[in-house]
Amino acid sequence: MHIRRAALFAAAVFAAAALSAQQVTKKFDYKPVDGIQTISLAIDKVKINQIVFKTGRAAGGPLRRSDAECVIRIDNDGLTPVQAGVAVALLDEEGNLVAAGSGGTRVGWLSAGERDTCAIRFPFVYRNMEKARTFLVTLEIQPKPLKDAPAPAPTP
Amino acid sequence: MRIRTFLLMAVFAAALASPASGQVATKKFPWQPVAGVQNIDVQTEAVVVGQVVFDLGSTLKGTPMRKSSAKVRVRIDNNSETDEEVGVAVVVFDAEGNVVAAGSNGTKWGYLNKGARTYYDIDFPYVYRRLDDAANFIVTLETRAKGKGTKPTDNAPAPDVTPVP
Repeated sequence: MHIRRAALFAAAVFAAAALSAQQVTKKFDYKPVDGIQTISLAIDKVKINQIVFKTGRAAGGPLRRSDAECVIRIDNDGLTPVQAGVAVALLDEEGNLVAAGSGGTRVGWLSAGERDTCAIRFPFVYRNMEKARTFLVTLEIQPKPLKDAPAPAPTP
Repeated sequence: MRIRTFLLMAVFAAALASPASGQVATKKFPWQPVAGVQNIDVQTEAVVVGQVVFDLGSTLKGTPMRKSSAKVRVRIDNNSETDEEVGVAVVVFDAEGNVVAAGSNGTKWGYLNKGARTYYDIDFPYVYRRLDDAANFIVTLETRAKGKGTKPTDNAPAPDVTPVP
């Protein structure tokens, strides 16, 4: 009886750990070609393979916001829908932040097998973006709880 | 005579370059908010970020909305003699150097008037789930004085150097 309870408890702990938010951060050299840079960052089967930078400028007139941004491509090659969040921070040679922001799933889930892109805007800190030398990318995912997951297809 | 000419040219060039420069300062702080509030000091000339107020936020449970209300409110004082454009970025790290939140905010329209105080909310809507593990954060302040050119130059004074995890 005790063993059965312990096994159930262990299973519950394992399931909770598997469904809690997971996160990975990686630093890359800033070397885009025509703004595009291939990178590799993954949690299980959720991957970021490409980032496209756009160094912007202020809108003009009294408007101070810039249109600088980066667009990140996220592939969910796993079997479970996930919520995904991505943060990007660009740093210059001395380690000063020259741009930072985040993007990700706004509504619902990124379904299994789906690809999505999210734009991360840098509207307010952008004036030294051309001095970027490295950047940090963080991928944060939250898998869909099993009880909400769709029933698996019946096997013939 | 040549030296004098050279010195005059150098001084003149420096005077021309200086007004066109944007200022930037970055500083790193340990995560030590009390009831969310932490006093800090990041400044470029006389524009100061003096306080940050962290709000770990929440999400709308039971809905398909995924955005969090987590944010940090930064207080900015323009103690200078000129109106300024201001941008502030905040990145929060855990003890291992993972980013647990990042964002920016700043002047949207016009200038922050000389002598004025303002607050900007920097939202963390998409990367927020591990804010409880925050260990330190960096704050960057970017400013440009009114009427001092549209392009920052390389002649700006060296910013505070902060090692990045």
